[in-house]
Amino acid sequence: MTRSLSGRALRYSACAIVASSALALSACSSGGGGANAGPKNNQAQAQQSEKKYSTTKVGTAADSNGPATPVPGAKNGGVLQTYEESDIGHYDPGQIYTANAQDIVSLFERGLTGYKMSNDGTKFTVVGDLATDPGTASNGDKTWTFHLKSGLKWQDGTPITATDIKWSFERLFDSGETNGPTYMQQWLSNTTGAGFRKFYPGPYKGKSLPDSVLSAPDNSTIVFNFKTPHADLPYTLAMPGYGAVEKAKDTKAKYDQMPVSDGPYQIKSHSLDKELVLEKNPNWDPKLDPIRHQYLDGYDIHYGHSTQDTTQRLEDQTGANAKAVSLGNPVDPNSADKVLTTPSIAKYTVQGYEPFNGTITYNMTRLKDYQVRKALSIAMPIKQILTAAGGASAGDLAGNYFSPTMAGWKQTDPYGKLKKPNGDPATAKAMLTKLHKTGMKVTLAYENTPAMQNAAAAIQTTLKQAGVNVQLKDIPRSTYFTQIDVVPNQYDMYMADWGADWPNGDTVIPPLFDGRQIATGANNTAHLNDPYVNKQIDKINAMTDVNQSQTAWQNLGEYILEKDLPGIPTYNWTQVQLYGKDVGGVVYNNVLAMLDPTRLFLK
Amino acid sequence: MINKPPADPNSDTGTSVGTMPDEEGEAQGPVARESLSPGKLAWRRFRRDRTGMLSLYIVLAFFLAALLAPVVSMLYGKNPYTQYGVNENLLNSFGYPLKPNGGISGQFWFGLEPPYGKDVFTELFYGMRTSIGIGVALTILIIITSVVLGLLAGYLGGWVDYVVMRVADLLMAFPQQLFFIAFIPVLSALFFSPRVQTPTWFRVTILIVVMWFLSWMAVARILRSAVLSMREREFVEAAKLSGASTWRIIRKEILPNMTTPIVVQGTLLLPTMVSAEAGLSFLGVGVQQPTPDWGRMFQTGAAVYQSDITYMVFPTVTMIVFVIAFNLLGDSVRDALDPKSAR
Repeated sequence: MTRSLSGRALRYSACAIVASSALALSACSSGGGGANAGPKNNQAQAQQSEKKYSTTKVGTAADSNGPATPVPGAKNGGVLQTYEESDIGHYDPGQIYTANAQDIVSLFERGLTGYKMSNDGTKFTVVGDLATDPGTASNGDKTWTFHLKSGLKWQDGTPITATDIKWSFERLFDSGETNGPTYMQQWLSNTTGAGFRKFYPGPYKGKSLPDSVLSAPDNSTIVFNFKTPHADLPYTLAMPGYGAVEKAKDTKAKYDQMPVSDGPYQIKSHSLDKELVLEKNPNWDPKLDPIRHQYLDGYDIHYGHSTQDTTQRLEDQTGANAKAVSLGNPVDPNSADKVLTTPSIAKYTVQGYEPFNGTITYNMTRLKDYQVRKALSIAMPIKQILTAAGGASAGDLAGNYFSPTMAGWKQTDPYGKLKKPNGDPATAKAMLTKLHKTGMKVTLAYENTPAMQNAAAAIQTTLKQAGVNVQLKDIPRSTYFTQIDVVPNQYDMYMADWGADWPNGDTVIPPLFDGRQIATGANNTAHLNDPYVNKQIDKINAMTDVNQSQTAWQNLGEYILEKDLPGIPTYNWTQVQLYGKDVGGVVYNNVLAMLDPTRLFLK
Repeated sequence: MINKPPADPNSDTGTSVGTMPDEEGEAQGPVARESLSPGKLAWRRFRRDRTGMLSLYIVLAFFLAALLAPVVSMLYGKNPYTQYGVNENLLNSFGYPLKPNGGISGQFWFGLEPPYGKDVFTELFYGMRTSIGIGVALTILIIITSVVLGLLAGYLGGWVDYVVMRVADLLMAFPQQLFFIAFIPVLSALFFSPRVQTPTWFRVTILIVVMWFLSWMAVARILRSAVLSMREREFVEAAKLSGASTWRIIRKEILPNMTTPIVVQGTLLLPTMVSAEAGLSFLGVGVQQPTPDWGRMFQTGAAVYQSDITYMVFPTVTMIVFVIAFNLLGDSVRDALDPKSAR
C-alpha cells in the first residue's frame, strides 16, 4: 500500500465534477448541513457501526483449519454486482500491491498465510492459508518451514505442490515483476533496494534459487532460509502479492490477465477497464480454506465508476442498486455528511480505519532546529487539515505516527495536538520569539487539489498568527510525490501520508525514518538521520518475538516523535462505505481497507 | 416596424416612450432643428430601450459591488479570509454549517462556506472583484490589440494583412482551454523559485497574459473587416486625394467610424472573459486560495452541493444575472449605435 497515490487521491478529485442533473435531484433536500447536525450525527453513528478498531495476532495450526466460520444468516446463490473505480490492471499475484487489487484477487488467489477475520471484523488472526499453520521458525527466526495442506488443487484439478510455491517466489525476481511488494525478494537475497535483481534473474532462463535460500524438500514442504531474522514473516506472506502461481501454467506476461485460481472463484471473463466476471471454482475445497466462503454463484465486477456514481447508486437503494456494493469506493466525502446524518441511509454504512497515517513532514535538512519544528507543530491546525479532507468521514485526529490498525497501537499525544486541534499559535509565537525566529519564512509544498488548497491556506492563516510566514507552493498532483522525494529539495514542509503493509511497526519506522535510507525516490522525506534511531531499527529488526517487537516499534515511534520530530501527525484515515440493503455479510476489513469480499451473500 | 411621426419632436425626455425608438431621431430632414451628434442620437435611442436600461443598471450595480467590496466588508463587519465557522464553532464534524440553509443567519447573510466557515457574503463581493477586475483588464487589452492589428491589417493590406491574419488563424487553431491548463502552472513555476510562494499579482498577470494571447483574434478579425469596407468608402478616397497622411486617415477618418463595432464587441467580450476566468478557476488553474474568486466558488459549490445546496445558489445566481444582463446590454448598445443592423 505504502503511499496513497491512487486510493485517497481519487477522493480528492471528487471535487472537480460538474453538478448537472444531480443538482435538480437534490434540490428538494433542505439544504445546509441539516439542523442540529451534532446530535443527529451521534444518533446516526449509533445506528451503524462505529469506526471499527481491530486487533491482530498470529494464530495456530488449529486456527488454520477450514472451513471458515459460517456467517450468520448467510444464503447461497445469486450473482453480486459490484462497482469499482478502475480496473486493477494486473491479476498476476506478483504484481498486486494496491488496496483495490489486494481485495479483489483475494477471491481467487491464495498464499501460504492469510488473515482470518472474525465475523464482526474486530479480530484478525494470521493463519496458514495454503499452509497448515502460519509457519514454524527455527535457527533464531532465520529459517521458516511451511507444510502445504493435503488435497489442495488448482482450478484445473492438478494438485498444488511445493514446487509451485517455490516457483511463485522465484518468479518475483524476474525483471517483469515490478509492481508487487519487494520484502521477500530483499530478505531472500539479503540485499536492499532493487539489489535482488542482480542476485538472481528469475527462473525463466532455467536457473533456480539455490536450496540454501529456498527449498522444497518434498511435495508439501517449503523452507525459507534468511541471513537475518524475520519474526513477522507470517504477516509478510499474507500479502496478496505473495500469492501462489501454478508453475506448469505460468505464461509470464499472459498470466497477468488469466491467472489460475486456487480460491473459491475463478475468472470467467475479463474485458479490460470494463468488467471482470467471476464464477465458482469447482476444485476449491471449503474444508481446506479457513478464510473464504462461497455463498455467491459469482461476482460481476464493473469498472469505471466514480465515488460519486457509487454513492448515488447506493444511496438510492432501489431495484438493482439494492443488490449491489462497491468493494473499494468510499462514500464521496462531499456526500458523507448527508449519508451519515440521514438515518435511513446511514443504516447501510460500515466504517473502519485504513492503515494510513497523515503527517506534515518537516525537511530536516532545512529545518534543523528542533525547537522551531516544535513551535511549528504546536501551531499546526491539524483539525482543519482533516476538515479539508472531508472531516469526520475522512479520519480521526492523530497523536502519533501509527494508525489504530497497527498491532500494539496506543494513543499518545506528546504535543497536546488532540487537546488543541486547531493549533496553538500563541504558545508557538512565544517559543519563536525566544528563539528570535518570528517572521521566519517556511515553504509548504502541497498537492494542488481543491481539498489540499484549502488545507494549505488554513495552515498559512494559522501559522501567520504564530509569526511564521508560510510560502505555499502548489505542485500538480501527477508530480507531487516525485518532487518531494528529491534529495535535497527546497521545500521546508510537505503533506505526506504512509500506510503500513502489515500491522507491525517494521513497515512504518524503517522506511520512513532510517537515516541510512535517505535518497531520491526513497521514503525518508524528512531526512531524519538519528544514530540512535538507526541503531534501534537494527536492534528491533533482529528481535524474534513479534509481540515484543511491536511494543518496541511503538516505543521507538514515540521516541522519534518526542525527540526528533521529523513531522507532526495530522490524522488517521478512515473510510465509510455504503452497501445495498439486500447484500448480507458486509464487514469493513481493516487490513484490506475495503469491504471484505469473501463473505458477502445476497438476502 | 411602422414609422410613426414623432409625437413631440422637441422632447427627448420621457414623453415619447410609446413610439418606436428606431428611426425618428434620424428623420432629421424635414424638421428644422439643431442636428444631434451620432453619440447623442444613440444615447437617446438607448434610453428608450427599457431592457437595455435595466441591464445597464444591473451591470453598473455589479461594477459598483466589485469596486466597493472593501467598503461593504467594513460596513458589514466581516472579511472573506477569517474562518468564522472554525473560530466560533458553527460547523459540524464534516465541516458543514450547523444551521440549516447553509448557515444563513442575521450574522451571516449568505451563510458560511464549507469547510472552514468563511463568510459567503463578503467572499462573493471580493470574488466578483477579482473576476470582474481580471475580465475588465483582459477586455481592454484585447480591444487595444484588436484595434491596432485590425487597423494595420485592414488598412495596409498586402503582406501585413497576410501575416497578421495567418498568425490569428494559427492561434485560433490552438485548443484554448487545454493551453491554459497546461501553461499557467508551467509559467508560474518558471518565474519563481520553489522556495517562494507565487504572489497573487503574478498569478493574475499570468492569467491575463495567457488569456489575452489566445483571445484577441476574433475581435481583431471583425475590426479588420470593418476597416476593409471603410477603406473603399468615398470619404476615405476624398481624404486620400486631398493628400492626407495615412496616420491622419486612420485617426480622423477611420477610427471614429470604428466606435460602434469597438463598443459593441467590448460589451460582448467582457462577460465572456469574466466567465472564462471563472472557468479556469473552477478547473483549478486560476486564482488560488485564500484569494476569493467567483469561479472557485463554483468549484466549492459543485463539491458540496450534495450536503449544502444553498452555497451554490449565490455564485450561480449572481453569475447568471451578470452574464445575461451584460449580453442584453451588448445587444441594446448595438441596436442603439447601429439601428440599421438586422436583428
